[in-house]
Amino acid sequence: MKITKNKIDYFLLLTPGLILFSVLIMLPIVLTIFYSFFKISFLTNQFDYIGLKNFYKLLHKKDFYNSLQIVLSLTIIATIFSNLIGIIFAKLLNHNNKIFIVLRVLIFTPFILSPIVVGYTFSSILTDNGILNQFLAYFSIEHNISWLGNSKYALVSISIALCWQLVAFCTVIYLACLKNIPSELEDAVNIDGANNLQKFRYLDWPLLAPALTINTVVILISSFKLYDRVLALTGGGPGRSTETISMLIIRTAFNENRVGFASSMSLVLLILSGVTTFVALIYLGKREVTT
Amino acid sequence: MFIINRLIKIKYLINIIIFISVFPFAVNAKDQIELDFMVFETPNLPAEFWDDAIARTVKDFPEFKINKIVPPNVGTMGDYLKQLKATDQFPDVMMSNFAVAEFIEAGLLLPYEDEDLVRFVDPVGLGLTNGKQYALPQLTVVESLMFYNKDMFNAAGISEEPKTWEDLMDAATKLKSNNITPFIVGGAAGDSWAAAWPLMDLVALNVTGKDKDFLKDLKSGKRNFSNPLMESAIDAYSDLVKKGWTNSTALSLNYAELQQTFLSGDGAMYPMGGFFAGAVPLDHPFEIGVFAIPALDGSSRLVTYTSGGPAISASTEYPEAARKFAVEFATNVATNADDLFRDAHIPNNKNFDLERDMKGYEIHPLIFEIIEILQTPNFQHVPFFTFEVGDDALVAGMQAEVFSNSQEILSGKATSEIIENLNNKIAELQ
Amino acid sequence: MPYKRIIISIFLSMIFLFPLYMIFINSFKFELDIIKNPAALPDIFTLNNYLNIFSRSDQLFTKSLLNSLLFTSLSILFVLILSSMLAFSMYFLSNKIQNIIFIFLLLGLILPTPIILIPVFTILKFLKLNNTVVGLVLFFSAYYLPFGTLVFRGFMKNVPKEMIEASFIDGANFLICYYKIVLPVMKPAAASVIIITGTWVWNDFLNPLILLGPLQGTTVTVGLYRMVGQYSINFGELFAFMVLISLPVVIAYLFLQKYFIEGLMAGSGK
Repeated sequence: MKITKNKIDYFLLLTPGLILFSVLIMLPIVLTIFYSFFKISFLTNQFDYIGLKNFYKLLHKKDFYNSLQIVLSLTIIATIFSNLIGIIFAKLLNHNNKIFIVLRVLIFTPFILSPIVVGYTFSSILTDNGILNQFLAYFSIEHNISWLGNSKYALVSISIALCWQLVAFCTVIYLACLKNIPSELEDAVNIDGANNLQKFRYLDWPLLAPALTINTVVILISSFKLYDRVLALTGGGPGRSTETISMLIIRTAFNENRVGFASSMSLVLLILSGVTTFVALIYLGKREVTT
Repeated sequence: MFIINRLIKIKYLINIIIFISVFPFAVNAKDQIELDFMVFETPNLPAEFWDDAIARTVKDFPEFKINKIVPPNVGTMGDYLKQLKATDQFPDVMMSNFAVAEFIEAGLLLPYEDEDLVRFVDPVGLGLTNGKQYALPQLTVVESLMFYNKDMFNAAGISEEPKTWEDLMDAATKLKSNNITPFIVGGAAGDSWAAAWPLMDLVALNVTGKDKDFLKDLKSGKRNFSNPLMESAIDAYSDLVKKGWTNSTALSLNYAELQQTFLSGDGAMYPMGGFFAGAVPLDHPFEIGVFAIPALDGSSRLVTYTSGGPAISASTEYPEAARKFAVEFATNVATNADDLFRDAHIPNNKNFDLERDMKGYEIHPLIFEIIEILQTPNFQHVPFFTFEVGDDALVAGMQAEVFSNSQEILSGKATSEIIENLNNKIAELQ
Repeated sequence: MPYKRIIISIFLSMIFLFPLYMIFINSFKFELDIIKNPAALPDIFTLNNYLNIFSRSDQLFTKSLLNSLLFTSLSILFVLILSSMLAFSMYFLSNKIQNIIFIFLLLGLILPTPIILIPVFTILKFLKLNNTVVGLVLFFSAYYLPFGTLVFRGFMKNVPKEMIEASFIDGANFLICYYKIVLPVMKPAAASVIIITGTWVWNDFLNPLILLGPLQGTTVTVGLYRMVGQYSINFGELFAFMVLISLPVVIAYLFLQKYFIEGLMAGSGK
């Protein structure tokens, strides 16, 4: 339908959202790009143009590569883990019994909790004398691990807290997707006498592609945002071993008064997350079978 | 006649109305000076302490109306203030329990006048910036103290308090051979300052206290952290970890848990500031002693921090009133007494008399011992590392780097790596 | 009866949901009990932790709760109105322009907030809206607008074309068409947007911390952060606080979970 008359009221409908979005989302992005060429301090009201110096410094900043690597590791672990367990849970709970209905509802609950609540929850489970170590001790497995204090294990702890919520999400998305698999196809495969593994590989896996896309994109978005959970669990430590990019940006801007430098980091993060997400979308999207 | 009466009554009424509507404003405008006052809450100094302290000063000077602001975490007060500044909510008055140097340099704080400082025994305290004082030297904290579990010392056959670093190492060896963890250290997540405490002490005692020009050269870029004194200070800390003399839980404890670890008798020695004494109950199961942490080269040095009183915002609406409130708050003897009792903060107030003002308080003997240590003659008092001001101040962001590298030391990283991190950081920030 | 499946499912679910159980159960225990037996049922059942929270001298919980309720509901309202309006308007545009707007909005969807927090703050300050609830609400509305628009757009496809055309014949303009026809029909979409946006806004921590500023009261998430930062951790009270601030979202979810899932599917399916 084309707009033929009454353009004014149409614009009244169209523009407020777009204006708000432009002012509070697009404009800040432009400003971030702008700021990254300056040396700015909110404390001293400094605003000096320094060209590409921020980016040059960024290239040599060990902490930045450290944070990038942390986020990358977490993303990979989260993607593999959450999708894997998500599919398993989904297949397990994909039945019509009343019990499964209840379980399906309950399983999603971790995802709706605030990340900071989840962070503190796991920080109490993963302390040296916490439940996890007590549990391992009960079964006489190595239990002296300092999950939060040892930089080698701290990343694992964060993965646990992150995946806990993402598994819930992935499970539900996979369940919804499984529901959409036409039963005729399923019956056909069953008649052909395929066993479970073959069934999965040739029927489920291709048809679950949309769910995989959604889950991966959501995981990517969540990983780049990581702040609350990590703050609650380790504060970025020990040392800087779990400092995510978001934490680095906030620290640089506020603790070190270097808003320009933080903006250059933000710009790199923006490009990175944008490219990664789009690539994932397109690549995984291609796999989707349109019914 | 009638009309004139009417007019007079109306005029009367109008006058009354004007009077009633203006009076409250007049009273307000003259009498009530509203100040935002940022304090900090810790287990030793909870909300009640601050509420009482503020109430005392307001009672004597009712022209003040105080809005108390509390940061979420005492270790990140500086960051919180920066947020407040960025959101135009910088408080009028703030307790200076953070690294003030960068705020002074940014021109955010108001300098005190000489008349404001007359009531203080030591008006210079932490130091002056361009000859001016920006944070009232309200109290003195002895920072380089080693608290110890007397029972454990006895059990290991240590009869005397260590006087030199070698004595300290001997004591630790004895403790270790008796299966006692010699040192309790640590600080996770937001309490990384606690992990940095021993390092800050060691650097103050052995680097900045010895080499007076080090910090100035650091600031001007002439030197960096590659320095034999700095290396030996960091080595001293990391050796404790390498020899297995520290608690394995170090990096998973927050400050409250760290304190509790020592109080539960999990280790023999606990390096911390004097305020720990305020947390020791009088009837504690084992007796706790205290001695000054020795310098590596045997010199008599003590790390002290004389500051901590209120600082004033340079952009406050009421500079003179704020200064007055700050001085009255910092020199209120009842508040000083409460502070001494709860947090072992030794008052720097000429009007404070230990005997007279501490009547009715049952002070822990540890606090007296700390005061004794502070008053020991022939001890060179050195400022606390990362809190210095003026020409000796560290550039913004370095303190956080020191904190986080202390956690790295506890993780077992090598001294060379720590120094490299610090050098990289300072190069980046300059 | 797939017994094996039921037993395995229940077993795995119990392990998976254990942290939830732990927080809930420990909020009813005394401190020592928590430390001794974190996983067991309370030795002595107590409501002390909850009572202590409500009787705090700074009223941390009630103030945070009111603040969160205020800006969450306002944000939801704004997102609902603005995104439904936008989705409706886009319907009438050519596909090409629709796709352009889409990519525009998509950028907002994948954007991590810390990137733009500082410029947003500068802009709000310029508009004299810094540290106000309105400023924060506007930011949330802008941030979740893409999501809302996607959901509504999905549902717009289900509105019969004839219905819309019919409303125009009666001489109605776009506004009336939107109000009379589209709004009632898009109720399910609205429900999804409400619950999902509400959850995300309620759970947000960093944005209120920085945009609302430290003094403008706290939100429930910032309140939790302050509780931990302040004292020797009293786990019982901490857990009780966490239960209390999660309760609204969990209850809303349990009653409206159908809309939650549908909304997520529609939004992500685009």
